[in-house]
Amino acid sequence: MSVLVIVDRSPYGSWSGRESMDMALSLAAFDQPVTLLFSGVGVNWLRAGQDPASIFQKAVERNLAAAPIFGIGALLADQQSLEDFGLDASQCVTGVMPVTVEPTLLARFDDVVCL
Amino acid sequence: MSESSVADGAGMASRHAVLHILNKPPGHARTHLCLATLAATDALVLIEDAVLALASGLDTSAAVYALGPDLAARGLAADNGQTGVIVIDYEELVALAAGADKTVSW
Amino acid sequence: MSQTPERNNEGFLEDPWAWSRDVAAVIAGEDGIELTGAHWEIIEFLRSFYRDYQMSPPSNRLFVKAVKETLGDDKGNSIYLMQLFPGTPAKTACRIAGLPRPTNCL
Repeated sequence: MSVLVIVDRSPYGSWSGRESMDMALSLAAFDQPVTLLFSGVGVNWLRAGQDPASIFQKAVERNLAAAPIFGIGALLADQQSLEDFGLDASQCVTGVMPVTVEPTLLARFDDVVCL
Repeated sequence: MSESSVADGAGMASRHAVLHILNKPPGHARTHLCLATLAATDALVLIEDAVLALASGLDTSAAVYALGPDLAARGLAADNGQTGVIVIDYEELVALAAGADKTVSW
Repeated sequence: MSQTPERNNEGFLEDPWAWSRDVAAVIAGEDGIELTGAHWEIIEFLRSFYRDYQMSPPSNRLFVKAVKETLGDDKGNSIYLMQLFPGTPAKTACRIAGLPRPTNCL
């Protein structure tokens, strides 16, 4: 069973994105193939150089870098959203793969979750 | 996966690859995401605020369903500028979801 | 030397950067653990993990998984880690390594 977890909420402003991350990590913990897709404002999770120490939060970017170690298969990013927020893959955490969000994308997964 | 069939509801199509259940209004980022991933062989179910899409217009070749009580609540009729929209009730929504290979709740 | 930096009610350091090898030995002693080379290998792994990712492995399963990924199957298995760090290995090991409490021990 492969699961696509979509993160389309911004980092830091709310906990929604973190809940999606937790879900992905929990699936990975039980060896379920899981992929994350960042879309819309969610691509801001991927921006390199985040330093949220002064707002007393942990850098989600650093946490995301641990994703492969925990068995999260891939970090996908909506190509259009990256452009909307002035990002290209080189300005993101390593391992981010830009994709075009289209119907065939969902077909690659058994389940799609958008919290 | 076991064989499943959609209950014989009013004019419901047999199977859809993905059942997209949308409850966000037109213009919402997730509405865009839903429409961007909607295949012609999929079905879109509009519930809650999403039924407003029937007032603003919807451009898709996928099958479109709308939840009757949510339409009525907002004073909308099914043919509000849209043809081919199938109005369903809660039971038919459940039957659609149960019969779908895959459901995405946006 | 029996003093440790400020800790929370579960014995985890408030500031992971206040950690030292001496502190580790004191905390381990409270759990009746005498630190060997095998322990230090895991502790060093966790310290470096925290430096890189600013987080503790969030659960015990993910702790085991991360060790496996880095140090191989011989060490990345729950029996081995349980023998070194009794109780919930992720919690015991993180406490000794000065890391924050793993957020969700499933």
